[in-house]
Amino acid sequence: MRLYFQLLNTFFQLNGRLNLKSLSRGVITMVFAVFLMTAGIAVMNGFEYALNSALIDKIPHLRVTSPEIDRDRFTLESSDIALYTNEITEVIPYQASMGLIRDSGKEIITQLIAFEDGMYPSILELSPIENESIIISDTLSTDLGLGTNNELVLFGLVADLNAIANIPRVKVLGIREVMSYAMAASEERVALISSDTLNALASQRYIEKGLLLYLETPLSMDSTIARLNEILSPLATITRWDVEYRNLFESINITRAVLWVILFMLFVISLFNLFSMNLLEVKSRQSFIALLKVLGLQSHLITKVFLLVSLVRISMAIIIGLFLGLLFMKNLDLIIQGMGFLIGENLLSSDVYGIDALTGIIYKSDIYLILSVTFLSGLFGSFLTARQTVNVLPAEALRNE
Amino acid sequence: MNKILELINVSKHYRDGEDLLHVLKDIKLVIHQGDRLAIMGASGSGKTTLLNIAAGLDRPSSGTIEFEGEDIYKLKDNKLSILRNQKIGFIFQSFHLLNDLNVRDNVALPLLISGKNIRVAMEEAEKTLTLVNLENKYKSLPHELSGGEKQRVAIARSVVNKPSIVFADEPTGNLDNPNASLITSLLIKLSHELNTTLVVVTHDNEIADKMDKRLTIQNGTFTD
Repeated sequence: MRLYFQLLNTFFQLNGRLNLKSLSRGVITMVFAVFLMTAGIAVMNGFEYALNSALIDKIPHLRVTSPEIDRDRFTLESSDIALYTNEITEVIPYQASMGLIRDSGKEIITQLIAFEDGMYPSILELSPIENESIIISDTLSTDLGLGTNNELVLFGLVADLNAIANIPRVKVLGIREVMSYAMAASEERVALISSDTLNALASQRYIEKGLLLYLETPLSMDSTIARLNEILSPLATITRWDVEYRNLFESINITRAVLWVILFMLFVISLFNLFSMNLLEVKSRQSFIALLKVLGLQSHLITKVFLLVSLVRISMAIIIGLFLGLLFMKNLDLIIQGMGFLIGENLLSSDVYGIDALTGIIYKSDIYLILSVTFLSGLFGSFLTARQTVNVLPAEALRNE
Repeated sequence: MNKILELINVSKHYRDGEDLLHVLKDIKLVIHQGDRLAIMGASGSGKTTLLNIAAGLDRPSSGTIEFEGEDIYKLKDNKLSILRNQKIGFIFQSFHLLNDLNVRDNVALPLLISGKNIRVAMEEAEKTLTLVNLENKYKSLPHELSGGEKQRVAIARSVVNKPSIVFADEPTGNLDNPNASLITSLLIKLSHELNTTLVVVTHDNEIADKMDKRLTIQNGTFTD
């Protein structure tokens, strides 16, 4: 152990105190890479969490459907369910039409939902603006407003399909189209359906009936689902909100995975940087290695010393990078506000993302993943470069000194 | 006296483009325990190459080197390292001390490599430094020492493990005359006190005169 300390001393010029300069070479890019990994993942987690929270407040948490439910028993069933479990805070019966829309050879399945009892804004109450369009999307949100081209935008919930059919120009958008439409303000991506098609769609009424349930604790709904399965008919299906919005969450997960890959590639580049420095170090310390061999230090122990030096550097980089990433995460909202202030524009707009504040979140599993991926790849690369010390020939190295 | 080292038909050549450069040609040499041998020769005559091959630092192109009856180049890397550590001492012209370690730690390094306990290693290092009259320089760093003192540290490091044989490659080459004379006397005194075989490569006649035996190498072969 003492021997290792002595040899590490020669690398880091300790002499009683740590020489940071000797650590900094090649480490800075790695610190930056680990920082970006931590910060990027914290932002993605925070964004997903904020989106979850925003959705949970606005949407039903469970949807129960059954072909056996007839219209008269509908209300009865809903009150039965509400009596069975106190987890459910609200039950809303609904009837829906499912339609297949064909447009320019492209099939878009959309679901239009009609509510009873006028609980939600009915289309009948709306007066279409002259020469404007109405956009219907399958996002299930209830926002109503003007689109980027001054068209009337109705996101989702429609009470009467016949009413829509009377509107001269109607566009149907999926969630991705809606987002790209909102961001790019391009009509090219918008699917336009004719009123004939919409009428045909409207004629297929009530092919699905069901209940929309709101829960006390929507993030832990497993026990409620189990309870509902006990009391409902076997033909009933229960759909969770996170499954209902699977596409949205999958796209977040894909974005997160792509971000991971990009950040990992950045880390790999920084590793190459460190390894090239290690190789240069082996070259520049050939006489040192040769001398150790002359004094009788076995090759595998010399390899260990170089491996240890490299791992000390990598560990320092990981710790510093992780620390900076966590610091960034803790102050994310402040940083976003500060950046917005600097560029004079609000970076997070609830109109676009549905959220207006972002808190960085990092889970233990993310930290373990960052630590294990960075350390193991660092260990592997360090070993490869440290192995180069075996090839140093003492006589030749000392002759060149 | 016991035979400690034998070079049998040792040749060494380097490839220089399409030509072969013969540095050593069919060298035969027997060294006995306690011998003090000077190998002399002009620059480029092959004396350092011979020393490196004899000490197990460089491989011959052909021939064998037997150390205490065992062909050292047939040993595995680990065994050869242990042999270098425990049986062979080496002194260089340019000292080759580790600049970040103090004098005592430099001397203790071979003992630590051999697995000695830290306390024992430090005590042994201090004792050996006393033998080379550096008992008041334990804590000094190499850059704080004169050339002669550095070479005395290197000598202490080479004998601290009580090796059977010490190889010295131009040990006074970087020193002025008074220091060179001092180092030569010290080397010979230590080899007597520790019963260590001493092989010195030099082109300094004054050193060679103090040794028991001298051999001259020219164009890769002994002339004597």
